[in-house]
Formats: sequence, structure tokens, C-alpha cells
Amino acid sequence: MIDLQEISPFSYYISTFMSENLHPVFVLGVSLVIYFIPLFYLSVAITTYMGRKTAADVQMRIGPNRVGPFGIFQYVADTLKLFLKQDSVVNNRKAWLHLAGPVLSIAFTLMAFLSIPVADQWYLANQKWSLLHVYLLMVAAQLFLFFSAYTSGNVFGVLSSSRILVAIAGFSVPFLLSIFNIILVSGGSSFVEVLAIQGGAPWKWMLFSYPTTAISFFVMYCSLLIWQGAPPFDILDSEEEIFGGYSVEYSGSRKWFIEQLKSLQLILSCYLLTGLFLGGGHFPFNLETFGRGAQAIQSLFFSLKVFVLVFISYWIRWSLPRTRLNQVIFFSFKVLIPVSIVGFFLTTVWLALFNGKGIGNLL
Amino acid sequence: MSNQNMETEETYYSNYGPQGGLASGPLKLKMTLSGERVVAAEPDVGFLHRGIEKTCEKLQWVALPSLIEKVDYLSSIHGTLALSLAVEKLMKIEISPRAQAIRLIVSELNRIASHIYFLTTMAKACGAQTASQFFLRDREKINNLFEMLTGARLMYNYVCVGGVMSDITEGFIEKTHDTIKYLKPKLKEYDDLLFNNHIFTNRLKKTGILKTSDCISHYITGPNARASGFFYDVRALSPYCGYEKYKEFLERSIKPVTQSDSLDRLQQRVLEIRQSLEILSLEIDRVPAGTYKEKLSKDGKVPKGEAYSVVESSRGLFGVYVCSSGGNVAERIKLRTPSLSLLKVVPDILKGNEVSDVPGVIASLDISVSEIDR
Amino acid sequence: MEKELFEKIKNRFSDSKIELLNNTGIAKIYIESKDIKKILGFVSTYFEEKPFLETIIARDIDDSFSVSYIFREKTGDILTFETETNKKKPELDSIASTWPGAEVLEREIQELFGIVFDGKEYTSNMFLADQWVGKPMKKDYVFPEDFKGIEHRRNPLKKEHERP
Repeated sequence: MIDLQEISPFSYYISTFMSENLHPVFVLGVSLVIYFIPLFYLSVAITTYMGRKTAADVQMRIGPNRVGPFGIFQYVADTLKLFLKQDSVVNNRKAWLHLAGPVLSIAFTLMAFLSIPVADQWYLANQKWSLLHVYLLMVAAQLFLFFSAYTSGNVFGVLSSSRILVAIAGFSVPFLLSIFNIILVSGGSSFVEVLAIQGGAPWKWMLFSYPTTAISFFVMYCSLLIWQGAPPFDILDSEEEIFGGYSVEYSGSRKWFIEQLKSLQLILSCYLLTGLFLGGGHFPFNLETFGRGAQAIQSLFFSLKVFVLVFISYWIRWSLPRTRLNQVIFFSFKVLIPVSIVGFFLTTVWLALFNGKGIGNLL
Repeated sequence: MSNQNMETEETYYSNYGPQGGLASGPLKLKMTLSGERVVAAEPDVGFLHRGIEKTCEKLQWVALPSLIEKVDYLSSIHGTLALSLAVEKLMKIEISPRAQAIRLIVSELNRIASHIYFLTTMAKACGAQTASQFFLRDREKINNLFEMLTGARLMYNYVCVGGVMSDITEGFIEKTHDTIKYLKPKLKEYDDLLFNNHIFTNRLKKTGILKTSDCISHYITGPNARASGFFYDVRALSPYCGYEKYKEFLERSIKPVTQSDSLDRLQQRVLEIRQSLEILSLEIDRVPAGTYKEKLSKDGKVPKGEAYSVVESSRGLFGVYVCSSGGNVAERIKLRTPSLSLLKVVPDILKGNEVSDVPGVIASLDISVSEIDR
Repeated sequence: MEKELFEKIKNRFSDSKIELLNNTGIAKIYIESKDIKKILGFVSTYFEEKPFLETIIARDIDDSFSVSYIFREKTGDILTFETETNKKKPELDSIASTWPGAEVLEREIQELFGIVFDGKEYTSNMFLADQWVGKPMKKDYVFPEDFKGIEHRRNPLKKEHERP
């Protein structure tokens, strides 16, 4: 668990001062501002800006360049515009499910961030089975999206809801198989234990250290694309085929929630991949000299790796056409599952041959 | 949910609305779906009816081409060419060879531009937005050519009764050569972007099947029919404007197939872009000298009579019927547009496809709703 | 080509009035409106392959409607047939059973001119708005002032918010 006094006496002082002298609601509000806004808003702003500029570069045009220098405040302008628009509400008996869907989805997605350690001691939850805990939270996020699509009172929403179920079914089994592969190698089933066996140098990452787990990196990446509904698998709400699916009924602030949800799911996928395969925040060189600043440097390194993965995701997003529903199911069940099972067995062979050591330990 | 139980399943009604569709214009499809499969589809047109045929009865003869070119705005040269050929039959005047050669060059350029716009819609229907931006970039080169020649980028107002409105400007022939040299290797790039992409071809294969027997019984013409095995090309069968020399060249694209799917129609149009580039590169060098427009009488009257002439537009056989009562206002103009014959066949094409295929099929048929509605 | 066909039709249906007109620039075979099914049925079987129906043109001549059928043979030549029907009760036989493409063309003519084909009146309009009054392509058609209370044109002499 975190020892706040050791890491940062300043925040320790502030939090004890606030909890002793101020009303809890006020404390909650201030913590929301200090801890919540960077994760919730700033990260999404940076990634959407990067996504739009990458799209513009691939399509040979200039992206946003008016709001702020080089257009960096574009997301602030979009937020303001969406919040000032009229929010038209559907008139339906089960309306509360439809209205609450995006918010609950974001809540469950954010909860999954808590278990991933950004640096050696910067995590907020360390359950024994946090890998599966994260899986259940991901399923719950899409499940609430399914509820809101189904009760939207719109034919396109119903079409979209069946596709969300397909996405949940299609991502589950390959994802779990890759997780089992990692558990097999690391011997533990929480993020902290998986990170403990990885090191800083690239040959000590899970991706290169045990080459057979590279197969599960590929499988997990594709299954995460299916989970998010990101191109090339963006069957959940496609503009041309089902006219927007579930997102056609939202306007105003709820539309902003949907955009936030998509970016947060992308960031969560990249967090997962970095934490499990790319060595998390571990730095190649020794950081003893920095003392407590070592944690901050590790978190920066973690963000750098997440950044690179997000950039590659956007690159793939703007290049490929959209797959059809039966192609997604075919890919998930007939390609990903056999490949991950083969990888599983190859990992057992490797572990038996090399006595459980990776390349990083053998060298 | 197997195919045998399709008729006993519960069906529901959905809409492929007038807005947001991928036909070039508002086309409404009333679809009955069962799960994600289309059981029946009924097209509904009329959102763009402007009463062009009635308005033509009030306009003078010189004003007609600027209205007729808005019937199918993506191939406006072909519309005005058909009208001019019909009126020239009535007035019994001969067009000079230079005007005929210029008319041929401009109609081939227009055909290439329309087919590239078709590729853009096709890529967008399958979710490849980057590919559609690439195609639009290439279409800009042709728009620049037209701007140099006529001053406009989409509705040119160029072909008129007696010839063309103005002569070839300086530097047009060199710039056309540069454009042809730029576009020829781009066709290989289109192959890489479209046909070598596994996702793209698997999406379009075996969807939207159009049979040869349907083409013959409903008289569907144009690239749709040529891809399905029914070769009907007005440029080869009843040539006009100097197309006589290219009859064997155009007949090389006869295919012995009995049906076509979306991918075949896409390939057919890329083949036609190649054909048009060949014809252009041969014609642009040998434009004969002469006048570009015949002198007509000043009172603007057309002698009494009727005439009917047809032209191969980028969507099929485009015909214009003209009836004059001797004045300077037309008595009756009737337009025969190629997309109108497709309306009865669309339900049969769409039946059995999935909802995700509907945009691809509608885009591959290249329906122009402004042609149907007039 | 037309002369042969004309002779054949005249020999076969010698009791109907059939003429060959060629004074307007297009060579036409003029037939009576009651003989459409007979004669056009014969034309569809006379050639080796059924000729294509290209278009159906309706015109408003002073006392009657004139309807022309333009067919195209496989060789590329055009065949034109023309009939007339009176304005008081405009009725014609439909050829949609032999040529399926005629259905849309006949529906358009029924909407814009008022000629009823095969006694079948369509309830909903294809091109015009659903409750449109009047047949627009007729020569005596008066453009209406408004449609369901919305005025068609702006009268600059009238004041903007004039109360009745």
C-alpha cells in the first residue's frame, strides 16, 4: 500500500489538514480537482488532439490549427460547445437506463485504472486477482452500454446492441487466454506481481523476454480492439451502416460522455498492454540517486510507452477499412483462439526447457 | 437463425433514410429486416423533383443547356451533349471536326471525373476514409483542367448548340498530357488500396448480385450492365462525335459472365477509367483546325419538328427527345435517364444481404437520384 | 426496316387504322389506342429478340394527349409507335406485362398528365408531394398559390406580416 508520508509529505500534509479541518464533501471536491482532472480530462484531451493530427497527416491535410497555438485547445472548445447544446431526452419507460448508460460505463472504465501500477509504489488497489478483476470491469462497462443501446427506443440502437453483445463475446475468450499465458509465466495474478518479474531494459520486458508471450501480445491487442469497438472493428456505432447506432440518440453533454468513453477505453487498453508486456514504468538505469523522485521519473516513462502505443493505434485506425460483423466473429473465434492456445502450449514448453527463466535472466 | 427459417421469423421495419445515404442524393429505402438480414426493400424517390421538364417549356433555346446539365450534375457534359445533338438534328446543321474533337475530349474527361467520385463513395461506404481522401485529391487535377478550359469546376456550361462555347485555351493540351501522366501510375495505387486489401474484397464479394437476364429485361445500361455480361455501349453501337474509330477498342471489354457483384462493378469502372485515359491520350494530339462553333441565326428560332438522340453518359444511356413548334421556346423536352430503370431492380438486388452491406451495394450501383427525380 | 414492319403489321391487322408518318423528322407508326396490346404484343415476338423499351413520351396536343413508345432493336435502330387518347377520359392499356420497365414510366405519366393505364390508379405519388392537386404537365395547369397554407412565391408588394 502507499505510504503517503514517505512519498510526498506535501500531499500528506494537505490531505490530513483537509480531513481534519474541512467537511468531507469539500475534501472530495478538492481531490476530484487535483487527482481526477489530469486523468479524466487532460489525458483525453491530449489523445484526441494526437488522433486528429495523425488523421490529418495520413490524409494529407492540416488538422486543428485555430484554437490555441497549433490547435491544442480544440478539445476545450468541443467540450464547451457540447455542454451548451440542448440535451434532448427520449420519452421512454425505461429511460433511466438509457440516460445512465454512458456515465456508468465511464465509471467502470475508470475503476480499472486503479489497479495498474504506474510506478513501483503508485497504485491504488492491489487485490490478489486484479487481472481478472480488470476483466470483469471491462465487461461491465460494455454491458451498461448495451443496456443503454437496447432501451434507446430506436431501431438503430437495437441493431447496435446486438453488435455490442458480439463484441463482448468476441473479446472475452482470447483476452482471458492471454491473461492465463501471463499468469503461467509470472506465477502471480496481480499487476504488481507481473511487473515485479519485468525489468527496465527491453530484453527484460515480458514481450521480448519470453518470446512465446509475444503471441499473446498480438492476441490481446486484437481482442482489445474488438472490446473498444475501434477501427478496423468499429461495428458498434458505424456512421454509414446503422446510422450511428446507439450514439445517434445522444446530444449535448451525453454525447461528450460517449466521446470521453471512447478515448478512455483506448487509453485503458494501452495501459494494460504497457503494464503487462512492456515493463511498466521500470527504467533501464539505476534511479537510487533520485530518492523519491524516482517514482515520478518512472511514471513519466510509463506515459511515454503509453503514448507510443496510442500513436500506433491511431495509425492503424486511419488506414484500414471497416470489417463486417461476420468477419469479426470469424477473426475472433477461428483465428485468435487457436493462436492463443498454441501460444499457451509453446509457453509451457519454453518454461520446461529453460527452467522458468526468460531471456533477460539467461543473458 | 438459419436461412430456412427466414420467412417465419419476426420482421421489423427500418429505414435507410433520405439523409446520410451513400447514393449521390436523397434516396429512401423502406427496409424490412429480420435480425440483420434484409427481407424486402422498397425505394422511395421524389425528394429532389424540380419540375425540369415543365420549366423547359418556358425557357428559350439558348437557356436550355444550363438547366439540362443540372439533371445529372456529375456528368453534365453528357447531358448537354445529348441536347445539342438533338437540336442540331432539328436545325440540320453540320458540326465542324474541331468542335467534335473538343466535345470528345471533354466528355472523356468528365467520365473519368465521375468514376473517380464513384470510387470515393465506394471507399467511404466500407469505412476507409483515408482512401476516399486520396481519390478526391486525384479528382482535383481534372477539376483544375476544366477550370482552365471553361472557368467552372462542376457544371461547365460548355457544350452548346453549334459546337462549344469557347476555344481551347493556351496550355490546355500540355496540362492534359501532364494529368494523364499523373493518373496512369495512380491506377496501380488504386489496385493496392482497394483490390489487394483482404478486408475490402471480402466485404464486397457476393453481395448485391445483378443478373444478366435482369439487365436485358429492364434495359439497364452502362457500367452496371457491362460488368454483368450485357455489353451495351452507345459509343460502339451508334457512334457520335468521332467515336467511330474506337469501336473495336471499346468492344474488348466484353465479358462472358452471367451476373455481377459489387466487386465486379467496382473493377469495371476502374477498367473504364483506364480506357478513357487511352482514348484521351490518342485524341489530345490530333485536334484538327477549324471553327469551334457554327454561326446560328440571330432570332433564336428552331424549325418545327421532332428529334431524339442518345449519348453514353457515365451511368448508361442518356436520351433527349426534343419537339419544337417553330418558335424560340421549346414545346416539349423529355429526358430518358439511365438510373430510372434501376428502381425496379433494387429490391431484388438487396434481398438476402445484411444491413452492413446495404451502403456498399447502393454505392456500387452508382445511382444518381437527381437523374431519377429530374 | 420500318417499312417492312409496317407492311407486316398492316397485312396482319387489316381492320385497324395504321399509318406511317414521316413529316416531323422521326418516322412513326401511328396506331389506335385500342390496338396497343395486340400490335405491340406482335412486335415483341416478331424479332428474334424482344426489342428494348427505351422511353414513353406523353405530349399535350390541343385536343388530346399523344403518347409515343420508342423501342430499340438489337442492331441499334429505333422504332416509334404513336397513339392518341382524348382528354376527357384518358385511358390506355398497359404494356408492363411484356416490358417490366414500363411500370415506372407509366406511373410517372399518370402522375404528371393524368392518363390512367389499365384502370389502375396509384394512391401515393412518386415524384410529387402526396396531396398535390392537379396534373402539372398539362398545358392548362395553373400554378397554385399555396400548398397547405404555405405560399409558393414571395410577393414584394405585399407587407410581411399582414393579418387577414
